[in-house]
Amino acid sequence: MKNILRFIVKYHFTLIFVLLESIALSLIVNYNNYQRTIFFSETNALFAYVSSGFSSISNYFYLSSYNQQLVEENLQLRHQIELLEKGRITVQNDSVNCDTTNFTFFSAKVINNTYNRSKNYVTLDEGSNIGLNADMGVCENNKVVGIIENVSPNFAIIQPLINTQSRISAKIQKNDYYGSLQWDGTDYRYSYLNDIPFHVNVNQGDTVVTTGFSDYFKEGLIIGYVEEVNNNAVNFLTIKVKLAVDFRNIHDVTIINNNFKQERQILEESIITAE
Amino acid sequence: MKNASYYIHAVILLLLQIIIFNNIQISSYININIYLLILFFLPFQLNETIVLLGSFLLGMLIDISAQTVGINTISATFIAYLRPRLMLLLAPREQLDNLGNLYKSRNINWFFQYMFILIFTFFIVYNIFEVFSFKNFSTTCIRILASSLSTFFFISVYYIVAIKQDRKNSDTI
Repeated sequence: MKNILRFIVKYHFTLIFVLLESIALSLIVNYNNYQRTIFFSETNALFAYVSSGFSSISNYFYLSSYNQQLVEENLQLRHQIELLEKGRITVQNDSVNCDTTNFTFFSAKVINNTYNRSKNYVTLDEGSNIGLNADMGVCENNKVVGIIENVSPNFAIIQPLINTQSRISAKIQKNDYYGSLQWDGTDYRYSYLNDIPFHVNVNQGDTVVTTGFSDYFKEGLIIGYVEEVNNNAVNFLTIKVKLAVDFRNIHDVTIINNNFKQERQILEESIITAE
Repeated sequence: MKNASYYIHAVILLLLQIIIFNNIQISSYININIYLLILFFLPFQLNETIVLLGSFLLGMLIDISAQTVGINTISATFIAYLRPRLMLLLAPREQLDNLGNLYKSRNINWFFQYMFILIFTFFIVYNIFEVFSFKNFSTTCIRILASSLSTFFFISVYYIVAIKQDRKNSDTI
Protein backbone atom coordinates (compact mmCIF):
# COMPACT_ATOMS: atom_id res chain seq x y z
CA MET A 1 0.00 0.00 0.00
CA LYS A 2 2.79 2.35 0.99
CA ASN A 3 4.62 1.48 -2.20
CA ILE A 4 1.55 2.15 -4.30
CA LEU A 5 1.15 5.58 -2.67
CA ARG A 6 4.83 6.30 -3.18
CA PHE A 7 4.49 5.28 -6.82
CA ILE A 8 1.47 7.56 -7.29
CA VAL A 9 3.22 10.52 -5.65
CA LYS A 10 6.38 9.97 -7.66
CA TYR A 11 4.66 9.61 -11.03
CA HIS A 12 1.61 11.81 -10.42
CA PHE A 13 2.48 14.07 -13.37
CA THR A 14 2.61 11.15 -15.82
CA LEU A 15 -0.48 9.54 -14.29
CA ILE A 16 -2.49 12.76 -14.61
CA PHE A 17 -1.20 13.07 -18.19
CA VAL A 18 -2.37 9.53 -19.04
CA LEU A 19 -5.74 10.22 -17.40
CA LEU A 20 -6.28 13.47 -19.33
CA GLU A 21 -5.21 11.87 -22.63
CA SER A 22 -7.65 9.00 -22.02
CA ILE A 23 -10.45 11.49 -21.42
CA ALA A 24 -9.52 13.32 -24.63
CA LEU A 25 -9.39 10.05 -26.59
CA SER A 26 -12.81 9.03 -25.30
CA LEU A 27 -14.13 12.47 -26.34
CA ILE A 28 -12.69 11.96 -29.84
CA VAL A 29 -14.14 8.48 -30.18
CA ASN A 30 -17.55 9.32 -28.71
CA TYR A 31 -18.28 12.67 -30.31
CA ASN A 32 -16.79 12.39 -33.83
CA ASN A 33 -18.68 10.08 -36.17
CA TYR A 34 -15.73 9.40 -38.44
CA GLN A 35 -13.30 8.48 -35.66
CA ARG A 36 -15.98 6.44 -33.86
CA THR A 37 -16.66 4.31 -36.95
CA ILE A 38 -12.98 3.57 -37.48
CA PHE A 39 -12.29 2.92 -33.79
CA PHE A 40 -15.14 0.46 -33.31
CA SER A 41 -14.59 -1.41 -36.57
CA GLU A 42 -10.92 -1.92 -35.66
CA THR A 43 -11.66 -2.99 -32.09
CA ASN A 44 -14.45 -5.31 -33.28
CA ALA A 45 -12.06 -6.99 -35.70
CA LEU A 46 -9.51 -7.39 -32.91
CA PHE A 47 -12.17 -8.75 -30.56
CA ALA A 48 -13.43 -11.24 -33.17
CA TYR A 49 -9.85 -12.42 -33.75
CA VAL A 50 -9.22 -12.89 -30.02
CA SER A 51 -12.55 -14.61 -29.38
CA SER A 52 -12.08 -17.06 -32.27
CA GLY A 53 -8.70 -17.92 -30.73
CA PHE A 54 -10.34 -18.50 -27.35
CA SER A 55 -13.11 -20.65 -28.83
CA SER A 56 -10.62 -22.88 -30.60
CA ILE A 57 -8.87 -23.36 -27.25
CA SER A 58 -12.14 -24.10 -25.44
CA ASN A 59 -13.15 -26.56 -28.19
CA TYR A 60 -10.03 -28.51 -27.30
CA PHE A 61 -11.44 -29.18 -23.84
CA TYR A 62 -14.57 -30.76 -25.29
CA LEU A 63 -12.53 -33.31 -27.24
CA SER A 64 -13.19 -36.07 -24.74
CA SER A 65 -16.97 -35.67 -24.98
CA TYR A 66 -16.72 -35.55 -28.81
CA ASN A 67 -14.67 -38.74 -28.63
CA GLN A 68 -17.33 -40.36 -26.50
CA GLN A 69 -20.00 -39.36 -29.03
CA LEU A 70 -17.95 -40.76 -31.87
CA VAL A 71 -17.38 -44.05 -30.06
CA GLU A 72 -21.12 -44.39 -29.52
CA GLU A 73 -21.81 -43.52 -33.14
CA ASN A 74 -19.23 -46.08 -34.24
CA LEU A 75 -20.90 -48.73 -32.17
CA GLN A 76 -24.24 -47.84 -33.67
CA LEU A 77 -22.78 -47.98 -37.19
CA ARG A 78 -21.15 -51.34 -36.55
CA HIS A 79 -24.51 -52.57 -35.39
CA GLN A 80 -26.08 -51.29 -38.62
CA ILE A 81 -23.42 -53.05 -40.71
CA GLU A 82 -24.24 -56.25 -38.92
CA LEU A 83 -27.93 -55.78 -39.70
CA LEU A 84 -27.16 -54.93 -43.33
CA GLU A 85 -25.05 -57.99 -43.76
CA LYS A 86 -27.91 -60.08 -42.46
CA GLY A 87 -30.22 -58.29 -44.90
CA ARG A 88 -32.53 -57.09 -42.18
CA ILE A 89 -32.83 -53.50 -43.29
CA THR A 90 -33.53 -52.39 -46.79
CA VAL A 91 -31.58 -49.62 -48.48
CA GLN A 92 -33.45 -46.75 -50.00
CA ASN A 93 -31.98 -44.72 -52.82
CA ASP A 94 -31.45 -41.23 -51.45
CA SER A 95 -31.29 -39.39 -54.72
CA VAL A 96 -34.49 -38.58 -56.50
CA ASN A 97 -34.61 -37.88 -60.20
CA CYS A 98 -37.33 -35.44 -61.02
CA ASP A 99 -38.07 -35.59 -64.69
CA THR A 100 -40.39 -32.63 -64.57
CA THR A 101 -37.79 -30.22 -63.17
CA ASN A 102 -34.21 -29.32 -63.92
CA PHE A 103 -33.02 -30.32 -60.49
CA THR A 104 -31.77 -33.51 -58.84
CA PHE A 105 -31.76 -33.80 -55.06
CA PHE A 106 -29.43 -35.66 -52.72
CA SER A 107 -29.54 -35.95 -48.98
CA ALA A 108 -26.64 -35.89 -46.54
CA LYS A 109 -25.88 -35.44 -42.89
CA VAL A 110 -23.85 -32.65 -41.36
CA ILE A 111 -20.82 -34.07 -39.58
CA ASN A 112 -18.94 -30.92 -38.75
CA ASN A 113 -19.94 -27.31 -38.52
CA THR A 114 -18.40 -24.02 -37.45
CA TYR A 115 -20.38 -20.87 -36.75
CA ASN A 116 -18.03 -18.61 -34.82
CA ARG A 117 -15.36 -17.82 -37.38
CA SER A 118 -15.39 -15.33 -40.19
CA LYS A 119 -14.90 -18.11 -42.73
CA ASN A 120 -17.19 -20.83 -41.46
CA TYR A 121 -17.54 -24.23 -43.13
CA VAL A 122 -19.94 -27.16 -42.87
CA THR A 123 -18.81 -30.71 -43.62
CA LEU A 124 -21.18 -33.36 -45.03
CA ASP A 125 -20.92 -37.13 -44.81
CA GLU A 126 -21.43 -37.63 -48.56
CA GLY A 127 -19.17 -36.80 -51.47
CA SER A 128 -18.48 -37.40 -55.13
CA ASN A 129 -19.34 -41.10 -54.68
CA ILE A 130 -23.06 -40.31 -54.69
CA GLY A 131 -22.68 -37.60 -57.36
CA LEU A 132 -21.95 -34.48 -55.33
CA ASN A 133 -19.81 -31.84 -56.97
CA ALA A 134 -18.50 -28.38 -56.20
CA ASP A 135 -20.93 -25.49 -56.82
CA MET A 136 -24.09 -27.35 -55.87
CA GLY A 137 -26.60 -25.58 -53.61
CA VAL A 138 -27.38 -26.95 -50.16
CA CYS A 139 -30.68 -26.53 -48.28
CA GLU A 140 -32.34 -27.65 -45.11
CA ASN A 141 -36.13 -28.00 -45.50
CA ASN A 142 -36.19 -25.49 -48.39
CA LYS A 143 -34.08 -23.04 -46.41
CA VAL A 144 -30.73 -22.09 -47.91
CA VAL A 145 -27.61 -23.32 -46.10
CA GLY A 146 -24.85 -22.59 -48.63
CA ILE A 147 -22.91 -23.86 -51.62
CA ILE A 148 -20.59 -26.87 -51.88
CA GLU A 149 -17.03 -25.62 -52.16
CA ASN A 150 -15.10 -28.85 -52.43
CA VAL A 151 -15.74 -32.59 -52.48
CA SER A 152 -13.78 -35.76 -51.79
CA PRO A 153 -15.15 -39.24 -52.57
CA ASN A 154 -16.96 -39.47 -49.22
CA PHE A 155 -17.20 -35.92 -47.91
CA ALA A 156 -18.20 -32.49 -49.06
CA ILE A 157 -17.43 -29.07 -47.64
CA ILE A 158 -20.05 -26.34 -47.81
CA GLN A 159 -19.39 -22.64 -47.80
CA PRO A 160 -22.42 -21.58 -45.75
CA LEU A 161 -24.20 -18.21 -45.83
CA ILE A 162 -22.22 -17.35 -42.70
CA ASN A 163 -18.91 -17.19 -44.51
CA THR A 164 -17.63 -13.69 -45.31
CA GLN A 165 -16.75 -14.83 -48.85
CA SER A 166 -20.27 -16.06 -49.55
CA ARG A 167 -22.29 -13.96 -52.02
CA ILE A 168 -25.76 -15.12 -52.89
CA SER A 169 -28.26 -13.43 -55.13
CA ALA A 170 -31.42 -12.82 -53.10
CA LYS A 171 -34.68 -10.96 -53.50
CA ILE A 172 -37.53 -9.60 -51.44
CA GLN A 173 -40.34 -12.06 -52.07
CA LYS A 174 -43.23 -9.57 -52.10
CA ASN A 175 -41.84 -7.19 -54.74
CA ASP A 176 -39.06 -9.14 -56.52
CA TYR A 177 -36.35 -6.48 -56.00
CA TYR A 178 -33.07 -8.34 -55.83
CA GLY A 179 -29.65 -7.72 -54.31
CA SER A 180 -26.65 -9.52 -52.99
CA LEU A 181 -26.61 -11.27 -49.61
CA GLN A 182 -23.36 -10.95 -47.75
CA TRP A 183 -22.35 -11.86 -44.22
CA ASP A 184 -20.42 -9.29 -42.15
CA GLY A 185 -18.58 -11.88 -40.07
CA THR A 186 -20.15 -11.06 -36.72
CA ASP A 187 -23.41 -12.76 -35.69
CA TYR A 188 -24.22 -16.18 -37.17
CA ARG A 189 -27.94 -15.44 -36.92
CA TYR A 190 -27.91 -12.39 -39.19
CA SER A 191 -26.69 -11.52 -42.67
CA TYR A 192 -27.03 -8.39 -44.82
CA LEU A 193 -28.85 -7.83 -48.09
CA ASN A 194 -27.24 -5.01 -50.07
CA ASP A 195 -27.94 -3.20 -53.34
CA ILE A 196 -31.70 -2.85 -52.89
CA PRO A 197 -32.57 0.63 -54.25
CA PHE A 198 -33.48 3.38 -51.83
CA HIS A 199 -37.11 3.78 -52.91
CA VAL A 200 -38.15 0.14 -52.44
CA ASN A 201 -40.65 -0.45 -49.67
CA VAL A 202 -39.20 -3.06 -47.31
CA ASN A 203 -40.68 -3.85 -43.93
CA GLN A 204 -39.64 -5.88 -40.95
CA GLY A 205 -40.70 -9.50 -41.35
CA ASP A 206 -40.64 -9.54 -45.17
CA THR A 207 -39.37 -12.83 -46.59
CA VAL A 208 -36.04 -12.93 -48.43
CA VAL A 209 -35.75 -15.75 -51.00
CA THR A 210 -33.37 -16.96 -53.71
CA THR A 211 -33.68 -15.41 -57.18
CA GLY A 212 -32.93 -18.38 -59.38
CA PHE A 213 -30.44 -16.30 -61.37
CA SER A 214 -27.52 -18.42 -60.22
CA ASP A 215 -26.93 -22.07 -61.06
CA TYR A 216 -27.00 -23.09 -57.44
CA PHE A 217 -30.58 -22.68 -56.32
CA LYS A 218 -34.00 -22.77 -57.83
CA GLU A 219 -36.14 -19.72 -57.32
CA GLY A 220 -38.02 -19.10 -54.08
CA LEU A 221 -36.00 -20.99 -51.49
CA ILE A 222 -36.21 -19.16 -48.17
CA ILE A 223 -33.07 -17.37 -47.00
CA GLY A 224 -34.49 -15.43 -44.07
CA TYR A 225 -36.67 -12.62 -42.87
CA VAL A 226 -36.04 -8.86 -42.78
CA GLU A 227 -35.02 -7.82 -39.27
CA GLU A 228 -34.03 -4.20 -39.76
CA VAL A 229 -33.89 -1.73 -42.65
CA ASN A 230 -31.14 0.85 -42.65
CA ASN A 231 -31.02 3.77 -45.09
CA ASN A 232 -27.69 5.31 -44.07
CA ALA A 233 -26.05 4.70 -47.46
CA VAL A 234 -26.76 7.15 -50.25
CA ASN A 235 -28.51 5.15 -52.93
CA PHE A 236 -29.09 1.72 -51.49
CA LEU A 237 -30.69 0.20 -48.43
CA THR A 238 -28.77 -2.05 -46.08
CA ILE A 239 -31.15 -4.75 -44.91
CA LYS A 240 -30.38 -6.90 -41.89
CA VAL A 241 -31.76 -10.37 -42.53
CA LYS A 242 -32.47 -12.93 -39.83
CA LEU A 243 -31.37 -16.20 -41.43
CA ALA A 244 -33.97 -18.95 -41.62
CA VAL A 245 -31.45 -21.69 -40.92
CA ASP A 246 -30.10 -21.98 -37.39
CA PHE A 247 -26.44 -22.66 -38.09
CA ARG A 248 -25.84 -23.99 -34.60
CA ASN A 249 -28.41 -26.67 -35.17
CA ILE A 250 -28.26 -28.23 -38.64
CA HIS A 251 -28.27 -31.99 -39.11
CA ASP A 252 -29.86 -33.19 -42.34
CA VAL A 253 -29.48 -31.26 -45.54
CA THR A 254 -30.61 -31.57 -49.14
CA ILE A 255 -28.19 -30.94 -51.97
CA ILE A 256 -29.59 -29.51 -55.19
CA ASN A 257 -28.00 -30.21 -58.54
CA ASN A 258 -29.02 -28.18 -61.54
CA ASN A 259 -28.95 -30.71 -64.38
CA PHE A 260 -28.64 -28.04 -67.06
CA LYS A 261 -25.96 -26.04 -65.28
CA GLN A 262 -23.19 -27.08 -67.65
CA GLU A 263 -25.24 -26.36 -70.73
CA ARG A 264 -26.09 -22.88 -69.44
CA GLN A 265 -22.49 -22.13 -68.45
CA ILE A 266 -21.16 -23.15 -71.86
CA LEU A 267 -23.69 -20.90 -73.56
CA GLU A 268 -22.96 -17.93 -71.30
CA GLU A 269 -19.19 -18.37 -71.64
CA SER A 270 -19.46 -18.54 -75.43
CA ILE A 271 -20.97 -15.04 -75.38
CA ILE A 272 -18.17 -13.75 -73.15
CA THR A 273 -15.45 -15.28 -75.35
CA ALA A 274 -17.18 -13.97 -78.49
CA GLU A 275 -17.00 -10.45 -77.05
CA MET B 1 6.39 38.86 -18.96
CA LYS B 2 4.40 40.43 -16.19
CA ASN B 3 1.16 38.77 -15.19
CA ALA B 4 -1.22 41.42 -16.45
CA SER B 5 0.54 41.61 -19.79
CA TYR B 6 0.53 37.81 -20.07
CA TYR B 7 -3.23 37.65 -19.55
CA ILE B 8 -3.84 40.37 -22.12
CA HIS B 9 -1.76 38.51 -24.70
CA ALA B 10 -3.53 35.25 -23.81
CA VAL B 11 -6.93 36.83 -24.42
CA ILE B 12 -5.77 38.42 -27.71
CA LEU B 13 -4.33 35.10 -28.92
CA LEU B 14 -7.50 33.22 -27.98
CA LEU B 15 -9.69 35.75 -29.77
CA LEU B 16 -7.41 35.70 -32.83
CA GLN B 17 -7.63 31.90 -32.87
CA ILE B 18 -11.38 31.62 -32.34
CA ILE B 19 -12.51 34.54 -34.47
CA ILE B 20 -9.97 34.51 -37.29
CA PHE B 21 -7.79 31.43 -37.56
CA ASN B 22 -10.54 28.88 -36.88
CA ASN B 23 -12.52 30.39 -39.73
CA ILE B 24 -9.97 30.93 -42.48
CA GLN B 25 -9.47 28.03 -44.80
CA ILE B 26 -6.21 28.50 -46.70
CA SER B 27 -5.93 24.88 -47.79
CA SER B 28 -7.06 21.52 -46.48
CA TYR B 29 -3.41 20.88 -45.64
CA ILE B 30 -2.98 23.88 -43.40
CA ASN B 31 -4.22 24.42 -39.86
CA ILE B 32 -3.03 27.46 -37.96
CA ASN B 33 -3.09 27.19 -34.18
CA ILE B 34 -1.61 30.43 -32.94
CA TYR B 35 -3.10 29.93 -29.46
CA LEU B 36 -0.24 27.54 -28.66
CA LEU B 37 1.90 30.59 -27.87
CA ILE B 38 -0.10 30.90 -24.63
CA LEU B 39 1.39 27.58 -23.52
CA PHE B 40 4.90 28.41 -24.69
CA PHE B 41 5.12 31.52 -22.56
CA LEU B 42 3.89 30.00 -19.31
CA PRO B 43 6.56 30.49 -16.62
CA PHE B 44 8.89 27.54 -16.21
CA GLN B 45 8.43 27.60 -12.41
CA LEU B 46 4.66 27.13 -12.68
CA ASN B 47 3.48 23.80 -11.26
CA GLU B 48 3.60 21.17 -14.03
CA THR B 49 0.25 19.70 -13.06
CA ILE B 50 -1.45 23.09 -13.36
CA VAL B 51 0.10 23.52 -16.82
CA LEU B 52 -1.19 20.08 -17.80
CA LEU B 53 -4.73 20.81 -16.60
CA GLY B 54 -4.59 24.30 -18.11
CA SER B 55 -3.63 22.98 -21.55
CA PHE B 56 -6.36 20.36 -21.32
CA LEU B 57 -8.94 23.07 -20.68
CA LEU B 58 -7.43 25.37 -23.30
CA GLY B 59 -7.53 22.59 -25.91
CA MET B 60 -11.10 21.85 -24.95
CA LEU B 61 -12.07 25.51 -25.32
CA ILE B 62 -10.60 25.60 -28.83
CA ASP B 63 -12.26 22.28 -29.65
CA ILE B 64 -15.64 23.60 -28.62
CA SER B 65 -15.20 26.67 -30.81
CA ALA B 66 -13.78 24.73 -33.77
CA GLN B 67 -16.10 21.71 -33.39
CA THR B 68 -13.21 19.26 -33.43
CA VAL B 69 -14.14 17.51 -30.18
CA GLY B 70 -11.09 16.16 -28.36
CA ILE B 71 -8.45 16.63 -31.06
CA ASN B 72 -6.98 19.94 -29.84
CA THR B 73 -7.41 18.69 -26.27
CA ILE B 74 -5.33 15.55 -26.81
CA SER B 75 -2.60 17.39 -28.74
CA ALA B 76 -2.32 20.36 -26.36
CA THR B 77 -2.14 18.06 -23.32
CA PHE B 78 0.56 16.07 -25.07
CA ILE B 79 2.82 19.06 -25.65
CA ALA B 80 2.17 20.30 -22.12
CA TYR B 81 3.60 16.99 -20.94
CA LEU B 82 6.68 17.37 -23.15
CA ARG B 83 7.23 21.08 -22.44
CA PRO B 84 9.21 21.04 -19.14
CA ARG B 85 11.48 18.21 -20.34
CA LEU B 86 12.19 19.91 -23.64
CA MET B 87 12.93 23.25 -21.96
CA LEU B 88 15.50 21.68 -19.65
CA LEU B 89 17.09 20.02 -22.65
CA LEU B 90 17.38 23.14 -24.80
CA ALA B 91 17.61 26.23 -22.67
CA PRO B 92 20.23 27.89 -20.51
CA ARG B 93 18.96 27.66 -16.95
CA GLU B 94 19.11 31.39 -16.17
CA GLN B 95 16.78 32.18 -19.10
CA LEU B 96 14.21 29.63 -18.00
CA ASP B 97 13.59 31.53 -14.79
CA ASN B 98 12.65 34.67 -16.66
CA LEU B 99 10.87 33.83 -19.89
CA GLY B 100 9.24 37.26 -20.02
CA ASN B 101 12.52 39.07 -20.52
CA LEU B 102 13.80 36.83 -23.28
CA TYR B 103 14.17 39.72 -25.73
CA LYS B 104 16.95 41.13 -23.58
CA SER B 105 19.20 38.14 -24.05
CA ARG B 106 21.03 37.63 -27.30
CA ASN B 107 20.74 33.91 -27.42
CA ILE B 108 17.07 33.21 -27.86
CA ASN B 109 17.49 30.75 -30.73
CA TRP B 110 16.68 27.97 -28.31
CA PHE B 111 13.24 29.53 -27.77
CA PHE B 112 12.41 29.29 -31.47
CA GLN B 113 13.78 25.74 -31.59
CA TYR B 114 11.65 24.87 -28.58
CA MET B 115 8.55 26.42 -30.15
CA PHE B 116 9.08 24.65 -33.45
CA ILE B 117 9.62 21.23 -31.87
CA LEU B 118 6.47 21.63 -29.76
CA ILE B 119 4.42 22.89 -32.73
CA PHE B 120 5.67 20.00 -34.86
CA THR B 121 4.85 17.47 -32.12
CA PHE B 122 1.47 19.10 -31.64
CA PHE B 123 0.61 18.65 -35.32
CA ILE B 124 1.87 15.06 -35.42
CA VAL B 125 -0.60 14.16 -32.64
CA TYR B 126 -3.28 16.45 -34.09
CA ASN B 127 -3.15 14.98 -37.61
CA ILE B 128 -2.88 11.37 -36.50
CA PHE B 129 -6.03 11.73 -34.40
CA GLU B 130 -7.81 13.73 -37.07
CA VAL B 131 -7.10 11.23 -39.85
CA PHE B 132 -7.28 8.30 -37.38
CA SER B 133 -5.66 5.86 -39.78
CA PHE B 134 -2.25 5.15 -41.25
CA LYS B 135 -3.55 4.98 -44.79
CA ASN B 136 -2.20 7.74 -47.07
CA PHE B 137 0.49 8.43 -44.53
CA SER B 138 2.43 10.61 -46.97
CA THR B 139 -0.53 13.04 -47.19
CA THR B 140 -0.67 13.11 -43.39
CA CYS B 141 3.06 13.94 -43.33
CA ILE B 142 2.57 16.83 -45.76
CA ARG B 143 -0.29 18.10 -43.59
CA ILE B 144 1.88 17.92 -40.47
CA LEU B 145 4.72 19.81 -42.14
CA ALA B 146 2.53 22.45 -43.82
CA SER B 147 0.55 23.17 -40.66
CA SER B 148 3.69 23.29 -38.48
CA LEU B 149 5.48 25.72 -40.77
CA SER B 150 2.53 28.06 -41.18
CA THR B 151 1.69 28.04 -37.45
CA PHE B 152 5.37 28.65 -36.65
CA PHE B 153 5.40 31.55 -39.08
CA PHE B 154 2.34 33.26 -37.57
CA ILE B 155 3.51 32.66 -33.99
CA SER B 156 6.92 34.15 -34.80
CA VAL B 157 5.29 37.17 -36.41
CA TYR B 158 3.08 37.66 -33.37
CA TYR B 159 6.06 37.25 -31.04
CA ILE B 160 8.21 39.77 -32.89
CA VAL B 161 5.47 42.30 -33.58
CA ALA B 162 3.41 42.20 -30.41
CA ILE B 163 5.33 40.79 -27.50
CA LYS B 164 8.79 42.20 -28.23
CA GLN B 165 7.44 45.68 -29.00
CA ASP B 166 5.21 45.59 -25.99
CA ARG B 167 8.15 44.77 -23.69
CA LYS B 168 10.44 47.41 -25.20
CA ASN B 169 7.79 50.08 -24.85
CA SER B 170 7.11 49.23 -21.23
CA ASP B 171 10.86 49.35 -20.51
CA THR B 172 11.32 52.80 -21.98
CA ILE B 173 8.36 54.10 -20.00
